Amino acid sequence: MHAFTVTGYLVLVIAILVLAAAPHVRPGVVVSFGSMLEQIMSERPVRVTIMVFWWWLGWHFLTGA
Amino acid sequence: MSERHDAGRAPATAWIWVGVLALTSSFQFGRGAPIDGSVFAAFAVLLVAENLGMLPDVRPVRAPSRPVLAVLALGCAIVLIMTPFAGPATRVVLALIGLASVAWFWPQAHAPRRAGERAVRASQAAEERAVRRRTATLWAILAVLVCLWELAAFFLGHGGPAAELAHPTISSLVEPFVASEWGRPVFVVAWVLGGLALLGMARRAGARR
Repeated sequence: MHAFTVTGYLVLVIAILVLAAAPHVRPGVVVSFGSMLEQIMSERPVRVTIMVFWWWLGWHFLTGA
Repeated sequence: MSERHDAGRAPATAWIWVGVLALTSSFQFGRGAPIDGSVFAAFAVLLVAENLGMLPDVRPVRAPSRPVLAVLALGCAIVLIMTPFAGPATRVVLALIGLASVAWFWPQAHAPRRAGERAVRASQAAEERAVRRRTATLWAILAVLVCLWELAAFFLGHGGPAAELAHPTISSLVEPFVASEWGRPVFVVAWVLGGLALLGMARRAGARR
């Protein structure tokens, strides 16, 4: 089951990489991740939520919480 | 408050993000991380108050120049790498970074942009909106799948050490790397650079003038 669970994560990582690369391979199908983030971050709730998750990643992994 | 939509009414999507924060908060409390849970809960409450128009308008403070920002980021990275893992210095620096981030990300210098706003002039608004909606939908699906897989691993791994080994969470896979001699600098640099990228996006998205 360990291999199955880890494989699931790897599949998701590959999917993320494919989606991140898609705008460069097939322009016009999707926009870049950065462009999309910039667009949605013009709304304060989105901007603040993304900031909180980014900060929490640092807190979680660097404080051992 | 100039940045609010439709005479003070928050858009429906604003409540979705409150839900995301509230759900994450309850999960953090559930896994026995009250500090993490409190942080998510505090921001959920803040956004509720904001959506209800209960908070005063916050004007953007003058942002530091790029060189100053780079020096600050470098200083934070050095402290986070050099000081003892999970020590008080790390916690203080992370708390200061969090407070400074709120001052940067919270203000709204100009009204939110709409998808395809620029393209209206080129008569391509509908097409650009469709592409952006498609992009956001695909990323949202991936984010939900990651969360579901992580949640499944978390709950299935609660049956003891064997179950935990069979169903590792992202944290249990990444933590040994971050705690290692070389992993910590790599993580800190990636995290700080990610934060700087978000600062730039927030500025261009309307958090700064």
